[in-house]
Amino acid sequence: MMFKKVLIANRGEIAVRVIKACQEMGITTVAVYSDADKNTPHVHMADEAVSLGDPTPSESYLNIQKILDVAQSTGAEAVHPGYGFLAENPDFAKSCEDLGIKFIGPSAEVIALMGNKIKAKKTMEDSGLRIIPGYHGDRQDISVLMEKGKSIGFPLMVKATSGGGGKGMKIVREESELKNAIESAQREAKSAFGDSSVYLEKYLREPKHIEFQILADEHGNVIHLNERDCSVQRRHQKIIEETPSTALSHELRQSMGEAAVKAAEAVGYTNAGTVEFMVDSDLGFYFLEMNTRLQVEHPVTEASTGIDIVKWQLKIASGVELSLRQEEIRPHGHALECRIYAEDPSKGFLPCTGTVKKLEVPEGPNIRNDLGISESVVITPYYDPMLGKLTVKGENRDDCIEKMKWALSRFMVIGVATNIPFLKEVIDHEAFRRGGITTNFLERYFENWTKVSQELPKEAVFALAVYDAMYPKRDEVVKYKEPDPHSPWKSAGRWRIGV
Amino acid sequence: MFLKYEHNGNVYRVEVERDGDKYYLTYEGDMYTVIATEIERGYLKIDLGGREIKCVVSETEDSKYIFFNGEVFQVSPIALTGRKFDGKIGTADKDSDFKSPISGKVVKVEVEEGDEVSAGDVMMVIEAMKMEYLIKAPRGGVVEKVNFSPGDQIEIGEETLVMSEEE
Repeated sequence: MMFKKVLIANRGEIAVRVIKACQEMGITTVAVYSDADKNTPHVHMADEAVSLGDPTPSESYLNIQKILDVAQSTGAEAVHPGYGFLAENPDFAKSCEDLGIKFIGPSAEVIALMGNKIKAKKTMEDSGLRIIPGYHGDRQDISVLMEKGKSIGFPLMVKATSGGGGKGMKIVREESELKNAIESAQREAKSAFGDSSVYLEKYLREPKHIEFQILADEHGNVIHLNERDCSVQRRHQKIIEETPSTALSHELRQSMGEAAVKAAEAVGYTNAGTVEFMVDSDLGFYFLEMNTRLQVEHPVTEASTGIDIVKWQLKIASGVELSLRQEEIRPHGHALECRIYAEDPSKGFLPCTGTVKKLEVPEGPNIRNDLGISESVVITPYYDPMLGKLTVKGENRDDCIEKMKWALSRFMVIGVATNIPFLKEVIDHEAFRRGGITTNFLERYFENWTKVSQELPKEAVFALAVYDAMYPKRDEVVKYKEPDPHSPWKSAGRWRIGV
Repeated sequence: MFLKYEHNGNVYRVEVERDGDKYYLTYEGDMYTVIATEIERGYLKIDLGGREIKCVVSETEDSKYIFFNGEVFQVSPIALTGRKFDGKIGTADKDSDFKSPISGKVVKVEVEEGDEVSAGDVMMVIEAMKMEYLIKAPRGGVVEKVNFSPGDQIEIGEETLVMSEEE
């Protein structure tokens, strides 16, 4: 039986995405929101919305008790966790289960197993997948980690055992940076995931980050929806994702897809998930981690396969058997996604806060906007600075890049700085167009990137002047005077103040 | 009407006179006649002698924003304060390196008053939006004052600490 009512335990664009899927399926939706999000789209869009109060994540979107209380009082039969927050928290999944509320995702046991990056790697290694060499032990004292780090050699990666999304992840290029990096990673991990433990891994040179989307039902059927290439990363945060990857041959795609399905089967995975791989310069692939949730970048797969992953999540959770067969999955064309962040590229990509004064997004064939904001929404420092995602699809990669360029140039957010100028240049970069890029791409070509021109274009000055002449404000006008007797405008007659 | 806008430390001066939908502009010594129509508040269509551009202007209390050619520029109109701005306004003031780049929470303070530091040493760690920002010493010197302790809220632009003058 399909659910009648679902609670969405998230905010922003992903809450909006899930609400839309529910509404299309005739499911009543319950949104939860913190005080900081009172006026955001997901709250307005849901059929019911319940306040969680205090915007601090631990008091709102991370507060299991509060969210479950809302689920019970509103009579929600299932909870969709989105991504981030409680999406990969096994205690939350277990607590839902205990209350007879269906958690839309895999079982608490699978989340716990895959959430522990070390255990996940060991499990996958036992099932025959290759993993990256490193220290995956339990010892967390700084002296032991320093010792292990030195024996792995540099460069190496420090990663949070419970990590994801680039948080608690540091690259260490030389021994002198090791101590600081470990301690910083431990603190970030503690604050982001409530678990400070980290592991160390050899740093692969020139790797590609390629992941496979999985759908698995509760009757033992597992399929994959091909890959997403997420090699464009800044500080280990994905920025641009695409499918298909220019790096994969038909054979490699097939063997990686099979490995991904095998990984899911090995742990009895259910619902939508993603198996992430690192692909090295010799095209060897290593299991990196499995994300037991909906991915931020799921729209690229939806664009190329035509499959609605969120609807399948809801169907699978309600017990429906997968009607899709592997051989029926036939992606076509090329899809690209850009993540729009409230970050100021001219100030070292610092997250920005402020009020969205005006917002206009590109519309057109094969252009999709996933947005968590609208005009007059205030961007606060409490949550992730991602404002939304822009996904486009083209007949081929070049066509897709041209469409993305056009779409980005018409994406207008006024009031909060965004990374759009940066995205435009990345998309248009010769090396990106060539394809086959690695996770070092941004570092190599955009290390100290700032906007090419720091100047205000002449057209912008004109438009400002025209606007100010239309709506003059006394205190902004530097000087009022009769036109200069030698001014060529003398003949234009006396100008007026006020319209 | 004489206007001045500040953008990225540069000042732009422009003179504009309006006559119906015609605007006479003087900018950098050149004169232009443009025809502008407003489609809705702030959405402008400007004819620059045959070349038509579209821009959007929006304003808040202390800033104006303009969207042109896919990019947003933020400018501050300069009020009639008697202050003189010519060309570049000041280079970064000497202590700007110790200002917090972000509003967030101080999670770690690595130095005490009186500590000697060398260039590149991490002095303070600030967390915001789940990412850490390191305040590093831009040069060697002695820490004279530490303004925050772990757990404190810090606002963007606040002085994190005071370092001795350069020798």
